[in-house]
Amino acid sequence: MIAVEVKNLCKGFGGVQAVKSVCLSVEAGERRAIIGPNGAGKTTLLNLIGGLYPSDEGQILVFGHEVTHFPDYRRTEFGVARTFQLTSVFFELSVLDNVLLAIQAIKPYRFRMFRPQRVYRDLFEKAEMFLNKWDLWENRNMLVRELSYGEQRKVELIMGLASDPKILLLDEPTSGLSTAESAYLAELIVEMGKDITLLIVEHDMDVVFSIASRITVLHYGSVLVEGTPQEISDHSKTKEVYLGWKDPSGNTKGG
Amino acid sequence: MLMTLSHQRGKSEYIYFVITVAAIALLLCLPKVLSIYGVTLLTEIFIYSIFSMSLNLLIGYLGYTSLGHATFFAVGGYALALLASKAGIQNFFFCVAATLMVGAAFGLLLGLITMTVSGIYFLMITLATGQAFWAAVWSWRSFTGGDDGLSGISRPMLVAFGHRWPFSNEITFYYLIFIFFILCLSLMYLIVKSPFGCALLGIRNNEMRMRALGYNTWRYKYLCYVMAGMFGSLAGALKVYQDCFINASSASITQSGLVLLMVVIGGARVFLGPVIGAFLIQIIANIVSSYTEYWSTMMGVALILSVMFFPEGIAGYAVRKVNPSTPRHK
Amino acid sequence: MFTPELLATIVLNGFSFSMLLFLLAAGLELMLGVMSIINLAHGSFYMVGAYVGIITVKSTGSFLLGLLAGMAIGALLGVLTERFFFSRIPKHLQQVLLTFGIVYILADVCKSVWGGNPIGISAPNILAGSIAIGTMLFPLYRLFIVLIGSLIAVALWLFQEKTLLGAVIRAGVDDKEMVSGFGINIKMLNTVVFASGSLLAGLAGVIGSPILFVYPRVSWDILILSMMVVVIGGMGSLRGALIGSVIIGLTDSLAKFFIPSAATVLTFSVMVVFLILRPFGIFGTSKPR
Repeated sequence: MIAVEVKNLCKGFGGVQAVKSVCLSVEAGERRAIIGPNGAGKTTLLNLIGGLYPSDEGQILVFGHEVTHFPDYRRTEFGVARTFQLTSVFFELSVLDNVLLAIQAIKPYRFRMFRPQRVYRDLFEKAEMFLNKWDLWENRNMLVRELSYGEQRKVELIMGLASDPKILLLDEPTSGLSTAESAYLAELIVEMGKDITLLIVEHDMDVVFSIASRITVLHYGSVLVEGTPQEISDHSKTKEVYLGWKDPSGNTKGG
Repeated sequence: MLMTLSHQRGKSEYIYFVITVAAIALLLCLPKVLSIYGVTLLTEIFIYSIFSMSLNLLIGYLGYTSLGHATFFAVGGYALALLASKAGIQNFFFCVAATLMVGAAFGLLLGLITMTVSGIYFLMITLATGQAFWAAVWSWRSFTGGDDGLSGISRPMLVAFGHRWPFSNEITFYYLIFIFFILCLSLMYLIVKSPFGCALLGIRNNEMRMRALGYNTWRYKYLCYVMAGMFGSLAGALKVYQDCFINASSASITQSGLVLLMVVIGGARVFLGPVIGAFLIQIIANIVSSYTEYWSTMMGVALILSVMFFPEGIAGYAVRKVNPSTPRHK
Repeated sequence: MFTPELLATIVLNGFSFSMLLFLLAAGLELMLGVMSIINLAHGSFYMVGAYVGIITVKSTGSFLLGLLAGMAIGALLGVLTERFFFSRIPKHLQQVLLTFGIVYILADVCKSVWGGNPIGISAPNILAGSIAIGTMLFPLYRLFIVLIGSLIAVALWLFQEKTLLGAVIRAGVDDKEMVSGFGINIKMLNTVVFASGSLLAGLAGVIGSPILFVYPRVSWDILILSMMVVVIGGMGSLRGALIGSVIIGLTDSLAKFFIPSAATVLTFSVMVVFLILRPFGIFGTSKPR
């Protein structure tokens, strides 16, 4: 079953074509990494799939349903969720409130006006579960603004997972983290990604090779090559495009 | 509690509960000791509290600052005035219900224009549309009486339980308004603590993220605006009942500025902040205007001082004093 | 009798009013574009400029001195507000609220110094009277306003198109670091922009005094008109200020002639129609500033 399919997707900003006729097909349960140099259009592609802005041309299908013309807030109905490269949480609210809002988003009572939120115990139980799992329960009443950067990234991730998505779009989840933190996060991602489809935009090659089952390489808005991690690391064009990255065997290529 | 949605049922919640009950008890007994002037002033404060709290749904919770909220005040007031005087409808409940519906209708219509924009632009548009409405009210003399306004509106006469309750007595009117005050505040409290209210805070903090999470944010904003409008209209209607009079000034920029001042000075980030703002402003207005005609200067100075030194308002400042670890106003 | 002469007079009146509005709206647009604020006290600066200008003209007999006085007081108020207040409150919304406070104070100040009655002056002698073009007679002063407005419009256009500072303003760059990377001191920029806008407001006040009365409430009335221009023209756009001024000015003039009792409502309705059709103005974008 194909989870996400993108057909001839195009997006331009002013005079710049950020995404040119990109075609992509991600199987359910796959962990697909999208890599490429800066300006390759990775984040734009993710934003298009997430619905942040509409595409100029092309189609986006989620589990067979065409979502091309649906705005971002409708795509969660199809099981899509995302995280942002620049931590985009509710900084002035507490950790608990951030998670509650994220879980509430898909609940039928999210529009209720005359009953206090605390009546909905399922909301709190699920929040507690997440916060315990990610080691944030102690700090649940702290404002996110007061957390360390790494913990803020954790909140960012939890918010992506809170709606029990079938497809999670991760935009540079380890951005700004140290090597150790990145590795730890990568482990968490592998574990949580067991039953869902992951689409990850990443720069950190260690993370990419530890997580991804397939890799798509973007270059100047088009797909350069696609394949398993081994195939990609052997591919000559990729090496050209990425001077100086490590292959899975630990050797540094290029120079 | 400043505006994070702390859910702990701790000691602080019981303290707030006790204070609330005590305050209600006090307000119920006050008419016995105050002069008629004091009772009338307090009644006015209740009405303006409903007005300022309604604006704060937009400012404090949704994060949208409106400079045209007087529109709803006037809409509600005129709806009531026209029903009561020109259409001669005396039924209290009918009049109030009709006022709310007219307020909702205006909110639904205006919201279509105003809720497409945000931030500074929203401020401008609400100012502009507010003035447009004022101009219409002021010009349409045959309907609204323009600057001279409409008068001859009588206090509600409730006929219930076999009794007639005339509210021409200032003290009984006080209790009627007090009931509305408690009712409105309770409703608003429920709204801000509900999933809907929590979502509003999320939108204020980061609307894009709310959309990514799956919230149809426009709907929330629109509804919030309509609710603010409905409560504002109710306040306007109650004011007409108190004054038995209304004129175009109820839609003016002065009125919009006044209610904004109440929210800012009282504190937008504390639930009861606007009530405190209404209280302070009305007291100052009434006392100051008997000593000097430079009321305008005082308002200006109060606003400037508040913005520069008390950005969180008096209530916000007080809460911070009590609990220094509460977050800074953004 | 509706004649071409009458139409020409109405159009000239409208156009001169447009140019007056342009002086104000241009200042507002600059402040919006560079500082992301609405100066609610803009109308108050107009008012103070008018009062000071009128007093200067009455006491010195020189219209030129009056113009200079109006500009000076406008610039002074602008500099004081920006340096003394804005620099202490970083947030845009707070700054807007502060300007609101200034409106209240200036209203009382003017009322106490000059009283609540409307005052005005007559046009200076060299500009009084009319000039004949063909069979039609045009008041010289109105033409003067159109001239001044056009000159300033051209000057602003040149500034925006031909200078680095202008390019920065046009781009709407409010990233402080990026702007200082161009060698522009952002604090100075803000002060200059705010002072220039206020200077224009003060100037408009004096220029307008032979055709509009000045009274304490004029600050709101003129602000609302300027804001309608911004709403129609689009935030931060100088072109928008010009087009919007022309639309509002002509509408106002035509409406006052044909349906004087509902003139204000008609002008507002035009704005509301624009709001419905193009909520961000003719040259505005939905990009947040």
